[in-house]
Amino acid sequence: MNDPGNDPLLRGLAAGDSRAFAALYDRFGERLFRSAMAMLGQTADAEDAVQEVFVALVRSRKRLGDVRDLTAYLFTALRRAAAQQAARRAREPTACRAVEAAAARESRPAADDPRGERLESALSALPPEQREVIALKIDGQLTFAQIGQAMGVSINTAASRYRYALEKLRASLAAAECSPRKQEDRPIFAEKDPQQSPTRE
Amino acid sequence: MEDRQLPEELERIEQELIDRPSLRPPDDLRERVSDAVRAELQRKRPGDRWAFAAAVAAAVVVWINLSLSATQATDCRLSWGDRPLAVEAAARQIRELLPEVSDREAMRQAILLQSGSNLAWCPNPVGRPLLTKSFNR
Repeated sequence: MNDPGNDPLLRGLAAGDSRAFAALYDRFGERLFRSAMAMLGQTADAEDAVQEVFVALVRSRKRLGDVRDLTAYLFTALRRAAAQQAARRAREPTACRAVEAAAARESRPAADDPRGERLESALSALPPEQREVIALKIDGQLTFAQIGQAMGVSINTAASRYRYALEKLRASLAAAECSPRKQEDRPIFAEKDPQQSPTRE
Repeated sequence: MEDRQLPEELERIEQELIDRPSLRPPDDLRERVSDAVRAELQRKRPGDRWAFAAAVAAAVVVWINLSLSATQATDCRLSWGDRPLAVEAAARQIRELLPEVSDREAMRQAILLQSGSNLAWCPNPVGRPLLTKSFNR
């Protein structure tokens, strides 16, 4: 086994001490959950992803001596778990997904103002890698170095993606303020129905 | 790297993202994760047993190889130094008769001949074995 260094938490994790895992959850659980929510958009999926991170950590505890940055390591595991969760979700029948997406929308905390709603809507329309970088930076409170490590890109690439994501959000918000049609009012099957024109009201 | 400045408008959007309401993890998630961790810690992985068996098998194979190599490379302390003159002479004769045979092989053959000549005499069986007789009939 590799030497997990002087960090008592890492030593506890490497030794398989369940109290160390509980302490780790207390330290990172909320950030991991919020990031998972931002990546996956559904509470059940986010919970499964967080659980999977901890189970994967138990399995790989003997290699924790090689870990330099535990935060980046955890969020790398979260990204992997979220990708697996999304792939699992994509294999489900469309009707199930639509019903669960509707339930997820209801369970999400409502934004106080229309701008907040538009922000959520613009956020969900971002490309996955930009949504991920927002999730890691804002919800996970990671540095660009940690984001780069978690996403397997350089610090500059992580910072650029973040900036592009913010610019895209700004453009989406500006466009939405010009045409204040609410995305949430659309039927949940609208995106998948080829018969329905996207411009039809 | 963290202190790179964003334009004011992007900073405002960043602040809006930070301030947006977000879900807290459900209270039972901590318990659920703890249960999953405990279950995983207690689970005996079948792969471990196979890894142990594979390691033992690999060690045995290496040991067999090493012992075979050692056997090939060892002369088993044959009395190479104080061999009798007859053996030297026999080896020399073998080398003369068969020049392509190496010194070591000639000596080995000579030692074999010598050891054969030192065997105790035993009576020579007379006649054929019964079984051969019956077959010949």
